[in-house]
Amino acid sequence: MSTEPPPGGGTASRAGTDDARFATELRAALGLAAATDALGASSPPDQLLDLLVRAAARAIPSPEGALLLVDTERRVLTFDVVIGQTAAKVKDLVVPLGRGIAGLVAVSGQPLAVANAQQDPRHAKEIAEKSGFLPNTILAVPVTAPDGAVLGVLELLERQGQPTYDLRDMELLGAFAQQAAMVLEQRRAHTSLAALVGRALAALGGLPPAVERTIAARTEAFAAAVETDPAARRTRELAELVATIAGRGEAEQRACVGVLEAFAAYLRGTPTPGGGMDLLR
Amino acid sequence: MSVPAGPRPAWSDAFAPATLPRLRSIPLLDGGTLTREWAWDGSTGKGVKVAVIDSGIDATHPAVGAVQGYVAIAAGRGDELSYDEAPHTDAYGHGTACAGIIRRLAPDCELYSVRVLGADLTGRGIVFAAGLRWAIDNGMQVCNLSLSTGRSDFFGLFHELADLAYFRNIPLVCAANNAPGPSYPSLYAVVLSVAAHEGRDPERFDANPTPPVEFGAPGLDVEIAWLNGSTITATGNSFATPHVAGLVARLLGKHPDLTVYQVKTVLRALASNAMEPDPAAPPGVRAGTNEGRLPVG
Repeated sequence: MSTEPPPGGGTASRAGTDDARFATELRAALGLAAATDALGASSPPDQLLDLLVRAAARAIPSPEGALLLVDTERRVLTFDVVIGQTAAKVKDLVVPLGRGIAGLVAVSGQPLAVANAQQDPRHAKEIAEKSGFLPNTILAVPVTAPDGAVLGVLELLERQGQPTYDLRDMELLGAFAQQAAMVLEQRRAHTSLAALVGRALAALGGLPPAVERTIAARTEAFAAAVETDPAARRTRELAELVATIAGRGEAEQRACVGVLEAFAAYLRGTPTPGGGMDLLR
Repeated sequence: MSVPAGPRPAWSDAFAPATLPRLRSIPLLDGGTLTREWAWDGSTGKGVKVAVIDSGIDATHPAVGAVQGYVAIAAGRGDELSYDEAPHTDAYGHGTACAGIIRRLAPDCELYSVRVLGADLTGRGIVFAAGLRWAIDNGMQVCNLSLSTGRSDFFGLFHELADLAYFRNIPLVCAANNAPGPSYPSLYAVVLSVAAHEGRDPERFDANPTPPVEFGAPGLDVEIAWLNGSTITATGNSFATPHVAGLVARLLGKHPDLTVYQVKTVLRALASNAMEPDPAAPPGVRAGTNEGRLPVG
């Protein structure tokens, strides 16, 4: 099956057809995700956050990743989730808010990627000496609550497959950070599954027709690629992530909206139609 | 009939023939003389005061050179503010990076380090706002803000400051936030909001026909000044912003009486995607010149 999206510039009726197909597929994907119920056990927020960091590190190929949370009293960042070979070594470290890439991202509220990070004398040395790992590339984005408060920093290290983290990586990790913020905030929020699905679909509505067509096309390609692409296994893992979140109660359902919204945000930010599997590369 | 003394809404006085000054126009429509040469050729930004509202500036970094003024602002436990105008350095490298980019484009501008990023998130928005107010009240002519806040409770305060900057004729050049959701002051219409594009030429910038983010400038894998005299490669809207701030400094160095919206108009007219011919356009369209028309989005 081809993963090429339909050509742009279609008519309004074509756009309507695409939109309807997209909505159908989205509902089907939600149903499939719920039915899959792959991970069985309940998924407390800690596990969800761990899954989010792992999913981000797969989507933006990186062997190391971490979610750091702001401790405003102690003026430090603590490692809440760490994945990769250095996880055990850095889990109990604290990063002063006054230094390093993560500290900078937390206080500035701006995402940042650096290369030649070992030349940054303060970030690399202190953490690296303890972890035994000296990253060449770092991508860090703020995890921001809906009210704008910076809750923490989501960070990936050592981009694989290309020399540095690029603007698309930054945007995509920002979408994962938005999900992480929703999980972190979940105890404050209550909503029904219907509202969730409605909100997710509403978030995908109201877009310019060309963008809607692109989303529909890319979603179609995405679904097709699940069956044919060698990366299908990773796709299923992401679907399982959705299932895990969506099937575990109101708070988790809220996080599921985050997943869908982040995907939509990523697609919205992709100016030209391309292969639908980009998200997973 | 005498005019009563005391406060009154006297806005009309400004337009009385006796007091209304003659203004210089910008050559937007008179045969296409609005060019980059007109805008900033020969200008080094000399004498233009540029505030870098950030983490401090390391004046010993060779990419930065002299810093003409400092203020470090901090909030105490009760949010009371302190202002320290003694020279300081940069805790993170971020402000130094922005200053280095501005210096590269406007080598003779005057740099002022307004340090508002510290080791504490408490009072962050208040300190940030205080830094912006300091810049407005202390004669700055361009402000670089490679930082933002999404706190909705600061919407009004930053809006007021952005308006005040406009009325004092100070362009605020603000990094857009890649994350969805509010971001102040970058989302206000009066500021020049900037995101990174993938171009490498430091003087190449684009205008976005569908704001809120108005301008794109180099922000991908940019060589930037960092801590301890080092140089690193970095990506972010934070580094696109000072490219535009540097060009604005050069523009104001040559045309100091431009208003904020004239600055915006000039930048839009001279953006690369307005200046350079559309690859799909018929042959004969000159490259590198503006035909004196505003680009049609």
